[in-house]
Amino acid sequence: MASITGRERSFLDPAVVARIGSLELIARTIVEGFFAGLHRSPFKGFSVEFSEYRPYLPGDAPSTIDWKLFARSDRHYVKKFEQETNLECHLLLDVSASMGYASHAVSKLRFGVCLAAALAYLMHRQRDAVGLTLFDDHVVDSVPVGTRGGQLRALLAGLSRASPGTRSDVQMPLHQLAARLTRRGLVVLISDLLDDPAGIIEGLKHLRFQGSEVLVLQTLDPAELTFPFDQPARFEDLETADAVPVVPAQVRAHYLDRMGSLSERYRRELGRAGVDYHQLDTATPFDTALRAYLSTRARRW
Amino acid sequence: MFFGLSFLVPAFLVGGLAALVPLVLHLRRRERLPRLPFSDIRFLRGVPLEQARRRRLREWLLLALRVAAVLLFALTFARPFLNDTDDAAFASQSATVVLIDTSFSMSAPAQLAPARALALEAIDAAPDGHLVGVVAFDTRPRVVAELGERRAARSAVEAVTPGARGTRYADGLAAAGAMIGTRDGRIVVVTDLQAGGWHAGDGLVPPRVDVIVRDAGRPDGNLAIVAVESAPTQTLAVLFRAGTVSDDTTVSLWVDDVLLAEVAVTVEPGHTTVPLPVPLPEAGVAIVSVTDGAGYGVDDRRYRLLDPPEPTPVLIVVGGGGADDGDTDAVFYLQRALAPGESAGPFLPEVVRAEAYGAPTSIELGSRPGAVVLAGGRGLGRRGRERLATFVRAGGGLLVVGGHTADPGGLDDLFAGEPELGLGAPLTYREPVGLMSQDPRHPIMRGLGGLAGALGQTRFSRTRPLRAGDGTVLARFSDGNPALVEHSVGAGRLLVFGADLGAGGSDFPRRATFVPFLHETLTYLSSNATRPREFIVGDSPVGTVALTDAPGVVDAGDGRRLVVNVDPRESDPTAVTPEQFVAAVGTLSRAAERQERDAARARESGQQLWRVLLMLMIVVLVAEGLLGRRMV
Repeated sequence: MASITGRERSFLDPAVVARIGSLELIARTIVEGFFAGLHRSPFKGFSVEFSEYRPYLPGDAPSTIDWKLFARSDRHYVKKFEQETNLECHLLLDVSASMGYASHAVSKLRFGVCLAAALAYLMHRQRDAVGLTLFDDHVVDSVPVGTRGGQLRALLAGLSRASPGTRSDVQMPLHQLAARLTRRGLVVLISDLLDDPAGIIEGLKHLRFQGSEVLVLQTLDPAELTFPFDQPARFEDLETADAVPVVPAQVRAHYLDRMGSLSERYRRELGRAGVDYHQLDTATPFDTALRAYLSTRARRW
Repeated sequence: MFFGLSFLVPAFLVGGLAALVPLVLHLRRRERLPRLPFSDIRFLRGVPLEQARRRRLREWLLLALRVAAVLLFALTFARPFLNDTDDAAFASQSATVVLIDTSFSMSAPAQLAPARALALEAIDAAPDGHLVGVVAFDTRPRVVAELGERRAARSAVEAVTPGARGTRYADGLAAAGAMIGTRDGRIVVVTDLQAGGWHAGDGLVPPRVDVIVRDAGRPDGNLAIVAVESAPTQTLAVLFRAGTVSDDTTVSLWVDDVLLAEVAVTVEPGHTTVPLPVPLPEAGVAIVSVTDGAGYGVDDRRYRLLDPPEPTPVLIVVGGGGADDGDTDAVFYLQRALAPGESAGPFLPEVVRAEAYGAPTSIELGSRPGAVVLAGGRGLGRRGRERLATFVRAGGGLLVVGGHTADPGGLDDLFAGEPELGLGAPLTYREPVGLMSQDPRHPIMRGLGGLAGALGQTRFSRTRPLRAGDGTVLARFSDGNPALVEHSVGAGRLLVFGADLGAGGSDFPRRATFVPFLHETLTYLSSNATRPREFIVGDSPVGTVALTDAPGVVDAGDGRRLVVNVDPRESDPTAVTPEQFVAAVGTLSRAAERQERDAARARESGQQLWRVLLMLMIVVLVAEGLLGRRMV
């Protein structure tokens, strides 16, 4: 079983990672730190490693013929490599204003950016085709799916431009993506999902209907999960600027109950739809998200 | 004053404004809650309505408790008290009261008409909406028109006429103020501004009332006869001429309607004594009159009762025992001192044995004694002691002679020990002691005049020293022991003398001071029973005699005659200025304010509502604390 040492874990700690300036370095730090901890990786065979042989078919590039095997067997076989799984990964990152919330050093958006960078790095390393979409109530930025050499840099550049936007409309990019997907792929949605749950679930089901695997990483701040406030205050909505006077002691139980119900609904309905759903808080080390991703990927491909 | 509630220190009510502090803090706190950005507030909005409402209700309740606490704090320090229902009655309509002077100083010719005109003018000038009333006053205020329509007030003014009484502004103003009551209002005083009117009266003017003065004018001069004195060979008539010029007049002396003398004189301003060449007879009613055409009429004649005063009955209760006792000796000298010779003296002594005084079948004394002398006290039974005690408590005067034969135990029981007469054991001296006045201002000693010093020449060889207790020592023996002690018993007076009044133990009965001492002592003791015979118009004599409001001779109904004269002070028309008058009213107003303050303080002290409010404030603070803790 894999285990991660304390030093390695520190490179997965969002609070530590978030202090690193370079997004590429962040991504590498997370991924390398993650893999350094996996002494016996259950995920070996991925990446650019050899996958299988198949008989040569007309049209195959002659360079792909395994000449050594031909010498032993006198048959033409073509090596099938990992990149030839032909997996398209779509990273959807919610950059709405609510993602800018932070009760400690790391905002949800910063956490999401780092996580997306790490996933992009990992996907790129596995030669998966990766695309990126940043959205709030519209698509703010996008990097088309690709595997070319500069793709990772383009992805990280896109992520580095992410900043809190306006109101969130999660289902919009889901439907847009589902409409333009021509191949089955993996869609990773990084969002706080603080939007209309019915619309979000509907959008995710749409993607599932298209045949894509969907991994939902709901990113929440610890304060959103525990509501640790104790002083009365006017709570101001980051997206709508609406405010409401609140005495935390009076509303805590009610809030946590509603928040728990929301999470439970996502867990229940998305599970029923075949969507992998993981709830992360911004204090959670990144390995949890990476494990979720790898687990989803391993199950499907 | 709010709904019958007044405040001793209303300035503290300003502190009630501090109630705005929690109110403002509450509102500011609502507005100034720290802003806290949050990702999504929809779950915060979803607090159950009932809970939010309950919290809002608690917030308002908390605010109400805090405001109440501050208000109660201010109320407590303002020292509230409840007024009587009458005081609290709220009268909304303002009032004007015309206070018209009807003393005899308003009776000079052509003086009444201007006064009435001024009063009518004041009625007409009363502000719209004012109720109008009329009070006539001299030494006694009289409401002649209650607050109401002006027509009734005008009719009342047309009917007033001056009498023969003097002037008491304070009483009149107080009556007018009482008529206004708690209203806003004003008093219009129509008067001759006579200065003498401020010398008497104890009424006060409510501080809320404005006082306006209308000068009705006064005569240029007045001639009055203010006293009639008796001299051995003549009669002296004391005249008073007010004004700046002399006046010719004729002074006449009449006795029982017989003209005895008539003298024409010129009277200079001020007091003048005019001798009439005949002495006053022993009996009858003397009338001395002057002629005065310009001044007041009622003071041109003065009455003097010449009938000898009726003697004051003095009951001498002598103790029982043998004929040789000193009490009998004392009675002898007492009788001789009180009724010397054959002629009628000022006292009418009557002797009764102590046993007879207290016996159930005791004789009824002819009339109520002016004073009682208890010589010794032996043989005075329980009934006799009760009778004496009742007599003294009802206002009678008692002289207890504590000679060597006195019964100290029995005398101490006289008033059941309150007071104790404090008769000590008899003392016998080789060197006799004298008697010294201790309180020269006391009426007895003052009445003795120069003879008070001669008391020291008296020689007592036997005394019975007294314990003064709560009493007042009027005289001491020269050895320092109290000799004459006065006690107050109910409405009456009790004097205890610590020696015999006979010749056995002293030479006092043979001294020149003995008779004056006894006369002054019994005069003092019987003063409550002395019936005056001469009155001033408006005086209220003791008894059932009803005096008229006019000077003259009155039949008392018991064979006696009484004379009634006008107040000589009223004959002086010297006036104060309106400014001085208003200043004097201000004094009354300030006195009324002080009186109101004292009354309010006494009422507040009796009610002590502040204790209730303090307890209430503590309860409110405790409730606020409990509620506030739940709100955190």
